[in-house]
Amino acid sequence: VRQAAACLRDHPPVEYADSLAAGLAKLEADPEIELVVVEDPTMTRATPAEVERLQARRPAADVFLVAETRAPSGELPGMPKDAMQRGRLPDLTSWLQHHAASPSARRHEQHRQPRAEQLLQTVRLLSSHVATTPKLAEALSFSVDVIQRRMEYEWVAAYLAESEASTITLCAVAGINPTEVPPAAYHLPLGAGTPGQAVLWGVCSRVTDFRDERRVQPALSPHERAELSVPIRDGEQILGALMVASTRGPAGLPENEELALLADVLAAAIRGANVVCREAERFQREILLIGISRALSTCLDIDSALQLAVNEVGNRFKADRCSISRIEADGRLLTTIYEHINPLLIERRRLPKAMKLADPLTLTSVLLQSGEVIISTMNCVHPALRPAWDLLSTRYDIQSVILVPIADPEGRTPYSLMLYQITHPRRWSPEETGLLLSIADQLALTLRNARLFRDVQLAADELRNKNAELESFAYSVSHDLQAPAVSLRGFASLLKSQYGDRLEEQGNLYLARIVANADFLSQMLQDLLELSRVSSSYEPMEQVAVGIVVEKALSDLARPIAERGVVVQLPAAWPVVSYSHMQLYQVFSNLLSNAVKFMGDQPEPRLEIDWRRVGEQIELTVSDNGIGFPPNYHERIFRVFQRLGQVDVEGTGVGLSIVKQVVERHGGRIRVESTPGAGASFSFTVPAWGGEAEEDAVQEGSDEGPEALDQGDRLADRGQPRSRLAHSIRAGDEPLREGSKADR
Amino acid sequence: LLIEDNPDHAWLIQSVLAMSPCVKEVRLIDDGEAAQNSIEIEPEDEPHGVPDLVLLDLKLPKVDGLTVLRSLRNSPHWRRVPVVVLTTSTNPQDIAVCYASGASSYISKVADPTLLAESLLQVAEVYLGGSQDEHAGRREGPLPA
Repeated sequence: VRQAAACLRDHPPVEYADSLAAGLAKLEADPEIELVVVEDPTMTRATPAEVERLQARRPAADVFLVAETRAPSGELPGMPKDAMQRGRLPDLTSWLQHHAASPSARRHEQHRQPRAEQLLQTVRLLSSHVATTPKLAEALSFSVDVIQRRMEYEWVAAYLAESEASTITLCAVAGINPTEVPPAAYHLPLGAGTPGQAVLWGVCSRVTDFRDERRVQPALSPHERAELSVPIRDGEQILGALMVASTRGPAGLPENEELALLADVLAAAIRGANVVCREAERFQREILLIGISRALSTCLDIDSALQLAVNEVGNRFKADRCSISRIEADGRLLTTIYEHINPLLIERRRLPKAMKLADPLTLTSVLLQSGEVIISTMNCVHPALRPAWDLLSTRYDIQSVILVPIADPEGRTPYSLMLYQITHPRRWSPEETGLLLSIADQLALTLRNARLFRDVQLAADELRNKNAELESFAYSVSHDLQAPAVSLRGFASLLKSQYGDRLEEQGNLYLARIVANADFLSQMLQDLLELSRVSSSYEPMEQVAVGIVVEKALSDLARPIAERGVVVQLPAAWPVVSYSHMQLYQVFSNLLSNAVKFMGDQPEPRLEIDWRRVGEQIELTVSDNGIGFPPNYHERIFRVFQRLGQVDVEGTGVGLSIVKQVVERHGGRIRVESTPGAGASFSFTVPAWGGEAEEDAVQEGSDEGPEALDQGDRLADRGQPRSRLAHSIRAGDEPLREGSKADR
Repeated sequence: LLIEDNPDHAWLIQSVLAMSPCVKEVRLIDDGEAAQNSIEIEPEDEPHGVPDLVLLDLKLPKVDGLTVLRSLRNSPHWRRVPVVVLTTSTNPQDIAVCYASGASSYISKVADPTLLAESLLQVAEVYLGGSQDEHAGRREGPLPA
């Protein structure tokens, strides 16, 4: 029915209602309705009483009933017999045509309102409807329909411009069957046809004879005579165009102002619909921003993170080229660091990596440094870019560019985010600019972090190098100093053995001092070497039974322990740890010899080794009841060459440094508790063995089974720990005992 | 043959070896390159011949001791000569490397001088003792450990 009604020329407004009750409501809402076609009144929806009421309410309106039922028309009282029609569409159309030209339609013609009144009512009608229509397409097609009919235009069309595209798109037509619209008119380039011109210029575009106006190609009426388009604008932004076309030449076109007013109403509709779209778009952009932020903040590889950001921005903003560039040489050189090029345009002329811009960009760099966003298009070139624009547009085809400063917290902006458009002059909405600024902030932060990270890395590298240098220095120094020490000791020894009897007592005393000091020097050098070895070498982790290691360390100290009468107290069972055999031996050897060494004049010297489990760690404790030391030494004793006694006290002051070094290299901690006169207690942690323990792993400390001996020997084979027995002969002879005579 | 660059050390070692009845003559080479040259030439061209025992310092100028040791072990005429390494290092890894490279024994120079002297004398006795005869004194390869 509606389709049939729409085919009528100059027909009055037709409203559709699917029930009489709805029709009544419409009639009451809109005083303009003059023709009511009620479909199928008898089937379910209408009662004769309702039809009566309808007619009583609006005697001026023509009420027609269209029925496809078999109900005889006579059953509806008060209805003219010919107001009932049943049948198919062509019949209906001619029937409507006949009746629409009925008295009320003619009355409509007679009582034609003044133009201004007509316009006002149309605007009012549109405003009340479009404001409540959320869907843009619906709102537009409704609007152009109303405009066309109410304002009695021949053809009406609405075009919309995408903010990022160079074309405008036909969204709704009225007065012409959509299938008759020439295909070329669906998408118009900016500047083509009157709508394209209106959108491009932002002003009304009127063409009255296309034969004369070569510049503007007709859009909708290629063979006709006249078109008028006005921009649909939302403030500064141009959303699209409303067009009226006429086959009757200029006479069929309205005044510019009339159409502009209607366009404003459409702008409101579009704005309303856009709010929804924009929300979605903003959401998308928030996601973009969050995504970029996350990528930038989590990625340690700054280069790839920034490249990713540039790609992402380029894709999302549909930029032909997006880059992070650095302005160098006082603004005379623009160097691209990261860039993304629209893959569709990759064949197009690419911008050089570094653009020498002679003088032109100086002003730009100044502006960027002040934090200003610079936007330029073909039609509106920013003053700062004006000197460079010719180069950009002619040589590089750039039609639009936006430069967003990346300002670091120090206020310098050597970098900027740049988006270029080659295909069309693009406008940048405030939202887009705002988003780009937020992204630029993020990039600034990243670049700064990258710089800091690089600085820290450089410092760390330098420190590492220095450390390695120092270690190798310590190694080679102690190694090279060893040679003269050997000579010194050797000759002193020869002197003593061969000429000792010829020296007087005083001379022998001097010689003894030389020997003592040379020995001490040699020992210090050895210990230093040991220390530098501990800090530079990696020993493999292995399953270590602590009891066996302690056993070995104690047996090496058997003589001083026996001489001093030290009572050694061991735990009933031993833990198994994950360590290096050799280094654990070093730790115990040093701690135990230290304890024995500093027994002082304790009448009942005691030495205790104990352990306890602390989570995944084992804490081992070596305590004695010797001389101890005051609290202010607790830290110092671990430093190299810090010694409590004088030269003649055995030891060089490196032992505890080695202990600390070993423990800390294995991720453990060492602490000492001591009070002068009450002994000292050293506790250190080692990682417990995590794997399957061998059956004999936990064993009695005093149990000297064959297994223990075997492992002990294996340990000795690993190499000589810090021991006075610094050599052995492979020929299977006994290690030489200290105190044997050279002149044997 | 004593290969030792430090003249004082060489003197000390020679002084100790002079006490041994097993040592007939000590020849000294004071750099690695010379030692290697000596190893590489044919025995008939070498006036001194192949020695009965080599005492080898590890730290040598030009060519280091380990390299000398390896080329010695690769030489058809020298490879059965016992080599005792003399060094200031006490690093277990260094010691292991020496044995792996074919050293017969190892003496650390930083040991107590009396111990050192005793070790040297014992080495002389083990490798050179038993017979004053040059050829009979040579054993087949390094002694079993």
